[in-house]
Amino acid sequence: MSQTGYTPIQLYYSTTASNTPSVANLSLGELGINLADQKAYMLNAAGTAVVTLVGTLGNQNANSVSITGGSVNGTTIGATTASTGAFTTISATGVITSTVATGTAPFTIASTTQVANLNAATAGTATNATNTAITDNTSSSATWYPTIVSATTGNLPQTTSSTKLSFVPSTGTLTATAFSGNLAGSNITGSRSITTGVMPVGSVIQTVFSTLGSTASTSSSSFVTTGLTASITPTSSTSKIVIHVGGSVDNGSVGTQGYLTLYRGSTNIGGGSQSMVASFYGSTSRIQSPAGFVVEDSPATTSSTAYTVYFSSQTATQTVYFNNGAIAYIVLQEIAQ
Amino acid sequence: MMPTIHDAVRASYSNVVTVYGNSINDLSALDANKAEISLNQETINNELTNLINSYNLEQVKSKAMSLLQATDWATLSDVTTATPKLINQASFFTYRQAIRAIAVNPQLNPSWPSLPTEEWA
Repeated sequence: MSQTGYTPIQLYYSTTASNTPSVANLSLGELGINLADQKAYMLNAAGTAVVTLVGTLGNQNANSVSITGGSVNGTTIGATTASTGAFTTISATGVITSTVATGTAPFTIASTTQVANLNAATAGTATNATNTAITDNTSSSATWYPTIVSATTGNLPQTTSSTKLSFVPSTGTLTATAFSGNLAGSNITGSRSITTGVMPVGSVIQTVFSTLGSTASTSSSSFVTTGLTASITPTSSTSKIVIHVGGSVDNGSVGTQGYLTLYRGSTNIGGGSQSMVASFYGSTSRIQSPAGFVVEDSPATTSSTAYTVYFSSQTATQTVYFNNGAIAYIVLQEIAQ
Repeated sequence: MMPTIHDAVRASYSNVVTVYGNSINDLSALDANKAEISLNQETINNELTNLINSYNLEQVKSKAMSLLQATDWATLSDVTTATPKLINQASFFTYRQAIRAIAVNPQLNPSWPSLPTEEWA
C-alpha cells in the first residue's frame, strides 16, 4: 500500500495459486510474484530459467540450503552439525549412524520399557541385561554347553566349560566330569536306574536266577549236564562271579556214589582230585537229599558266560539222579572288585 | 521206591546212560557217547506200567510178610499152655493161612483178611 497521494509501485504478480511465470514473462532483473503461493521468481543470469527466490525450505535448491547457526525450536545448532538435540521423536527411513568408537556410549536409553525388534546380533556386550529371550530346544543332536557364572549375584559375564560340562538336547544327556553331593534316593527324582558306575568292592552288580523243574539221571562215569544252567554277562573283566546252586540228589541204590560239579562253558571248574564240587553216597541205603553249594569264579571276560551243573555216577552201571521230582535253582551274582 | 519214567527208559533201552525229563512228552536220552537215543513212547509207557505193577506186587508181598511176622507169636506152643493162654489160636492160623497165600502169590489190590481179636483165658 502506498502513501496517500502517491502512485503504488506494483511488481508483476499473480493471485492464482500455482501460477508461475515463464522465461518469456520475465526480463533479466525483473521479479514475478505469486501472492497466493507467497513465492517470488526471477530469471537466472543467462535468462534461460526461472528461479524461485523465497517460499518454504522445501522449495529451495537442496544444495543451496545451509543452516550454520541459530536454533531450531530452542535447540542450539552447531557450526555445521547439531551439537545436541532434544527432539520429541526422531524418525528415520535410513540408517542412524554414530561415529563414536570408544568412551561415551553411542546412545543412551533411559526407559525401563523393552525396546521391541532390537536385533543386536553383533553386539559385543549386553552389559547389564536383566532378561534374555529363551528358546526351547529338545531336538538338536549337537553338543551344547550350559552357561556358568563366577558368583551367585551381580552383573557377570557368562562362560562355558567345553571339556567339563555339556548337554545334548535330543537325548537329554548332561555330561560332567565330576559330581559332588549326596546320591541319596531322596535327592534323585524320576528313574533311579544306574546303568554304569563304579561300585565298592564286594558289591553285587547283578544277579541272574534260573530254575530246573526236570529230572536228570545218568549212569555215566564222566560228567554230563543236569540241564541246570544260567548265563551272565559281566560288566567288568575283573569281576568275580559267585554261583549258588540248590537242588536234590538221589544215588538210586544202596552203595552208589554220585558227583556234582560246575562247568563254565565247556570247562569244569570243580576242584580236588575228582575235579568236582560235591559228592553224595549212601552206604547202607538209597539216599535222596538236598544238595547245595557255592562257588566263586573269575571268568575274566565281559562276554556272556554260561554256568551249568554237571553230575556223574562213580560206577558206570549204577544210576544217580539230580532233581528227582523236585525243582533246582542256580543263582549267578557278579561281584565288584 | 516207586519206579520212575527214567527207570522205564533204562529198562526199555539197554544203551541208555543219561535221561532228562519228567514225563513221556519231554523225555530225552543219551548213550555213552552222548548221542541222543530215539525213544518210543508206547514202549516206555508199557515198561513203566510193568515196573509199577511189579513194584506194587512186591509191596503186597512185603506187607504180607510183615503181617505174618506180626503174628508169629500166635504160633508158639506156649501161648496155648501157659496162663493166661490164647484160646482162639485157630483163628490166627486161619488168618495167617490167608496172608501166606497172598505172600506166595501176590495180586494187586488183594483182599486182606481181618486180624483176629486175641481171646485169653
